Amino acid sequence: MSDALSLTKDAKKPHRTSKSGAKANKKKEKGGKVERHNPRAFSVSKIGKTRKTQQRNLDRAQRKEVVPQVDRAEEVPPPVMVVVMGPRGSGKTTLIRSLIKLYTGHNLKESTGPITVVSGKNRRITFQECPDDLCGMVDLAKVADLVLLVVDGSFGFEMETFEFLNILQVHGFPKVMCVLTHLDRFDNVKALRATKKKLKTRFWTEVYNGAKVFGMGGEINGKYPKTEVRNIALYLSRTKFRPLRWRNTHPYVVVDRYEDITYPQKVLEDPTCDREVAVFGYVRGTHLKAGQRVHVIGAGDFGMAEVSALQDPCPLPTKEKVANRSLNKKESQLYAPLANIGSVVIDQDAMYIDIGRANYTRKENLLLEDGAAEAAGGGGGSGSEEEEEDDGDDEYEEGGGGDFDAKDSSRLLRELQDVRSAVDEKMGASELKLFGGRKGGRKGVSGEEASMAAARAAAAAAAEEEEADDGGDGSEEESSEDEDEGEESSGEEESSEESSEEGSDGSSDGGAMSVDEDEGNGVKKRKNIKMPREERVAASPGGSGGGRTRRRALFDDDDVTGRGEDGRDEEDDSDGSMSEDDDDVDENGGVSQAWKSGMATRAAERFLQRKSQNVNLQDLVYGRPGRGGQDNAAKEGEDSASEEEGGDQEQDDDFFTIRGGGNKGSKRRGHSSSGGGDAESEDDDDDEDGGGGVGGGDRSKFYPDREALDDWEGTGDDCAIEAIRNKFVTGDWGSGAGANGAGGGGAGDGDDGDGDDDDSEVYGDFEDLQTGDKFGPGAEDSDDSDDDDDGDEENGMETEREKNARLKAEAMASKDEGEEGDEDEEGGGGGGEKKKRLDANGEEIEDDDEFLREATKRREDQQTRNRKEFEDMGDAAQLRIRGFPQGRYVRIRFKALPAEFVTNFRPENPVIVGGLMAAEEGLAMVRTRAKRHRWHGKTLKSNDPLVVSAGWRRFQTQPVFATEDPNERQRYLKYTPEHMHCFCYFYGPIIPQNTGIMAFQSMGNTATGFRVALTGTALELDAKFEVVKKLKLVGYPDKIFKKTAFIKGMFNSDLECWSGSTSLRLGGSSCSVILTPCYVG
Amino acid sequence: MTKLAANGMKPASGKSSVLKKTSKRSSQPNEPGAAVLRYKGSKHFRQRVVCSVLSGRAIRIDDIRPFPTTTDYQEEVQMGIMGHEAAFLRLVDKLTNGTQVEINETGTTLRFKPGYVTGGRESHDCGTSRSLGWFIEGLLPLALFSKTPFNLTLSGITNDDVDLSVDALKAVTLPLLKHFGVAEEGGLELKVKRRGAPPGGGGLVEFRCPIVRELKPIDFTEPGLIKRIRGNAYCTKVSPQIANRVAESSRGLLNRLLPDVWVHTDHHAGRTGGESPGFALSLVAESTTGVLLVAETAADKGTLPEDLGNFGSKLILEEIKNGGCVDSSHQSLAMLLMVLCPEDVSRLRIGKLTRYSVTYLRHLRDFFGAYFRLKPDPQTSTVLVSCQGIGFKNLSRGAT
Repeated sequence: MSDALSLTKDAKKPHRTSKSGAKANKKKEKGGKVERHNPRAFSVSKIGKTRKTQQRNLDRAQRKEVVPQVDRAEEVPPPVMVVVMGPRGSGKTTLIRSLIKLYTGHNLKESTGPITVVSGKNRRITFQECPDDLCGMVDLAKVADLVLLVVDGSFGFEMETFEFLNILQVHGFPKVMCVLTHLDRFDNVKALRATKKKLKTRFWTEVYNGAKVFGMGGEINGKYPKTEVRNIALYLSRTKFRPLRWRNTHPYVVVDRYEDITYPQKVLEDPTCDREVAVFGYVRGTHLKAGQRVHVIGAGDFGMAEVSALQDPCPLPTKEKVANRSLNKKESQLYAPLANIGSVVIDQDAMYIDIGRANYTRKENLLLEDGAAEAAGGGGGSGSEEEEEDDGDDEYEEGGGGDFDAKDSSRLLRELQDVRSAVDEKMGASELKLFGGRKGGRKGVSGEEASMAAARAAAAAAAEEEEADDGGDGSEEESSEDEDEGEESSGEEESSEESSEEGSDGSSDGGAMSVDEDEGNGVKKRKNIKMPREERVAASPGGSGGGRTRRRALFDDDDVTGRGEDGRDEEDDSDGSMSEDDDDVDENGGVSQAWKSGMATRAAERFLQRKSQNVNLQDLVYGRPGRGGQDNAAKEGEDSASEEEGGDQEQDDDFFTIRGGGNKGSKRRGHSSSGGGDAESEDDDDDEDGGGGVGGGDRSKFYPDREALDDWEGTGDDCAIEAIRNKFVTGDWGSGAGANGAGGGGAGDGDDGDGDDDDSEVYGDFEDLQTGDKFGPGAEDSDDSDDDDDGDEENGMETEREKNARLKAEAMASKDEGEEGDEDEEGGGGGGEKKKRLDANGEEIEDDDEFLREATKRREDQQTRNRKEFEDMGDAAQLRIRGFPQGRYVRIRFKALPAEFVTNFRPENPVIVGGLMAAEEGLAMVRTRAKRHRWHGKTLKSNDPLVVSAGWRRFQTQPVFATEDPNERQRYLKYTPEHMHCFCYFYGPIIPQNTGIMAFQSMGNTATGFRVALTGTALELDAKFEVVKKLKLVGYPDKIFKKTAFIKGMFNSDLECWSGSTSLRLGGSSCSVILTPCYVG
Repeated sequence: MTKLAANGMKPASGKSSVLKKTSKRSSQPNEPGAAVLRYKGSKHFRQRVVCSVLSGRAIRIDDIRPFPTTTDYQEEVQMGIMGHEAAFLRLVDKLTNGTQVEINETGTTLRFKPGYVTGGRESHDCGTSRSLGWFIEGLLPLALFSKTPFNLTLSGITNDDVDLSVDALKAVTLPLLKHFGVAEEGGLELKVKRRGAPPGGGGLVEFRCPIVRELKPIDFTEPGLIKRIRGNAYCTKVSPQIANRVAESSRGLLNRLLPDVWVHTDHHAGRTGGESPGFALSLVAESTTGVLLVAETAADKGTLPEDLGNFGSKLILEEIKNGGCVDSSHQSLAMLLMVLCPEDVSRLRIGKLTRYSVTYLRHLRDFFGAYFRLKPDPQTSTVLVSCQGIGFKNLSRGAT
């Protein structure tokens, strides 16, 4: 014990720092750092670390900044294109069917072609099932906004899925979601979960981490469980889309309806003749212009003979209607002409209408026809109804119109069916009155026909009624029918009236009706019922083809309307061209002179009238559009074309004569109020010397009359010079601004940035160097306020400068305000208010993002300008200038598509019409940077044919691979390098730079492995590129003479045949020269 | 690649029947979206060629001066394509790659398939039938959409009374391009090395122009107030006093409106004076909003310097009276560039629409499918011109 004590006494106990308690805490707080007296002075204590964090933050900020894509979205966007892709048997159709059922309550039988539904208050969706071949995949990848990748979960991923993902990547990656199906085949939950996870992670590596993956349970009634489908629908409705570059610069139409409108006789005579085809669809991408060339994928480049806007077949509900509620069944519409909805079956060469049960036809007739129909339709049409019933869908049954009770109408229709003599026979019997109004014509019609007309009218009315009933039922016959009801709003009376009118014309309308039914030429039952309505559409001026399918009717109507319109046009023109015509007559002599009295006064009146009407310059330049405001650009083009022909007849070397005498009339009077009239007249005058002389043709410089220029010599208060005084800074600013700027801005307002710097110069004094005169601002009344001018000059200058500075500050303020919001500009407001805002803004402004904000501002301004500029112009004029905006439903008529397009048309294969920009047609050598896909099994060889997909097109070409040597030489490569990019040159259609390209060795389904052979981007276009190949000329002597020898086997192709005075080494001896290179097979 | 077949200057009247035939065939109207555009007549030759190169669409022009005529300049009989037109085609051919030009024996029919504008350093003799302004004005839009920047040395007439002179090009045309976002970093210049007056010519200019990826849409509607007038009176192979007399007389009328008028005088003698004597005046009015209006006139045989100056000042007053943000000579160029913008709306205020612009508008419709809105503003008697660009991009340029 004592030892221990002594020990403690000897060895001094070391100090134990307390590990807990107040003191320890205090120390902990300090963290062992040296306390600094002035922490602010050392705010950056760790320079390296701070630099790193700052750099990192900057980098991150930088990464966030992307060049903003211009958003070209319109108010009513086109339906979202949802492509459902998956290998065969993975459940694509089931998925689409389930979604359609969810949205519209309709049971889809097939899912061919684009199916458009209204999915929400402000979203429509077009579903398209991706066919099972590579071409379809490539085409659809170019137009998909969102892709639902259907994967058979029980089987795992298949090659198609990855191929498709790769295709998507090349053509601008749209949104992708994955749907795992057939998960009910797992009986082990653990295995299911593991598989799901595995598939998900694999999918994520392909797309991005967190990409949406849905799982689907088993089928119930051929559909997926409701909750899971609803989940997908939720995401479909929420997804936002980012503009893709190619589609942001090119218009395109995914065709959802197609009609062959070739004259049947032509096809009969030559089955391979070019077909006239009308296709329908929503415009997507940018504006589709009527004169644009388009590429029909798979068919080639074509000019559009006609583009016309149609009524939206599947419109969004109006905003007010659905403001506070969800859509009802009637509003959630369905439009899918290619998908055999309802009772229409599309066959290769015809459409069969399943009329289900016949309401009108007598039993005895029906039996006969049924047999015939079955024979013709191959059971396709009539069988479908039964199938539908088998499906257990009770809703559908109502579609046939079971509770039909319009006995009168059915009686009338039966009478119609009983008509035994054809209309043309009746025509022969009837009288025709050529002149007189329609009433007169009506009198001339025979009694029999009059009764027929009445019957037709009644029938039409009945049809209308029946339809109204259908709509009221809310059954699905249809939601797609509802869309047509929009058109119908004009009312039954109107249509019945029209039908009676048509009947009274004694034309063959009725005949057309029945004949077309016989032909079964591409009309639905619904359309059939609504025949009168349809005819009206065709008859309305310019509204060519509101669902028009009847050729016969179309011809008649076109003729009639055409004649009518021409007549009207002539009348319109007459006031302008009259004078000219009359002059001609006068020269011939021998015409009554009565009309000549007071011609001058009348002309003067008309001139004034026209002047007040604001001569339409556009008409003068582009020719008169005519067609009562309903015209479209293509039509107009045809008009001008015909004008040219007219011009040819008159003056052989005249070119592009303007129709309509308005300009000529103005020429005669030589008025110069409007630039257009003036220019026109001179154009006409100058025709001759333009053709021959040197001085006349093709010069942009414009010379006024020499005589007119003498006016400038005048003096006095009302001389010419005084008249333009206010266009100079020395003039009166207020009126000067008024005279100059219609925008009201002018320089005097001081609200535009550009002007103000210059203003300051204006205010300053200067010396006229040539005369030595001095000018002070006091000498000119240069501001609105004239008060300062009275003071002495120096003083005035002082105040001016001050004022200048103030104005400048205000201008800056208003400029900044403009960046914040446009409403300020309109407000104008007082100066004080502006100043306050400046102060508020002034603090916010940071130099860093000044540039970015400036750019944003500019873009926004531009977009407002885009929106506002043509707003007041009326639809037809807007369509002509801007083209058809996205979201419009259009009908495109092609004059000559190859017959194969029609004969091989399959609704399940997508038809895409892609617009080509200027200079994108034609062929060129294309230089691309490309890389063989690493999953593709084989290396690629130069000059082996590849199928390239670029832009809208797919084409086969022979690529040449090359690599760049350090001396910028493009060296030929026989094979693609491994794991490296190389240059790939090929001859093909023009592709803009930076467009993604990809290539396949074969598009067939038989190929094994990964079919994508090559991916890359287009770099450059040219007529020719230089790729060089190093040649080793090795040959064997064949015949040897004294100083010459024939060498064998030196060249391996024509291309290599090369002669030049390069020294060839000949087994150690000195140089020799190739004299005649030649390659023999 | 190129087949510049024949520059038919032969008076071959016997062929006219053949020509008739071709004209019948070519009277087919241009359908919307047709691949080859067909035209007739000699007018607007340059417009058509330029639009063809830009749009990449082949053209065929028939009936180019099918009947022999005499001209003012030369007493010889003229028929078919003329010297300056052939020179323009040759120049375009030099600056492009893959252009195919075919001209028939009599020179009355031209088939033109455009290639890619490659640009680069070239020198060309433009002849003496049209001035260099005619050539450069046509080349400008091509120069912007070229593979490599233009660096041209052109020789010929620098100033005449028919086309824009090099002074006007330098003072007004090139600055106009800047509104479209061209040459923000410089590189756009026109250097006059030697002056050349008609008929002898002998002028020499250097023209450089940078390339663009795409243009910027414009909104150019405020004419502002004219704040200064600048001018250039040049004379060559005549007494230097003549330029002074021109300058002096041009100020007379203008000084009644504006004190800030300054006319440079530019006298050339010896080698830099070209082949023929001559003098000319070009006046540029500048407004507070950066608007530049040009008017110019050149001396004819026996013109007095005083008359020339006086006439020039009247011309500029006429331009100012017409108003607008571009003068009458530059309407067409501005409108072409507006069409070549991205798919955005461009607006421009012009004075009176000239006949040249009207035909240009029609050509723009044919080649690019572009329609303009022409809204007359009766209050100021100007025309508001607006259109939507076609989304044109420089396809010749290479990407990295």
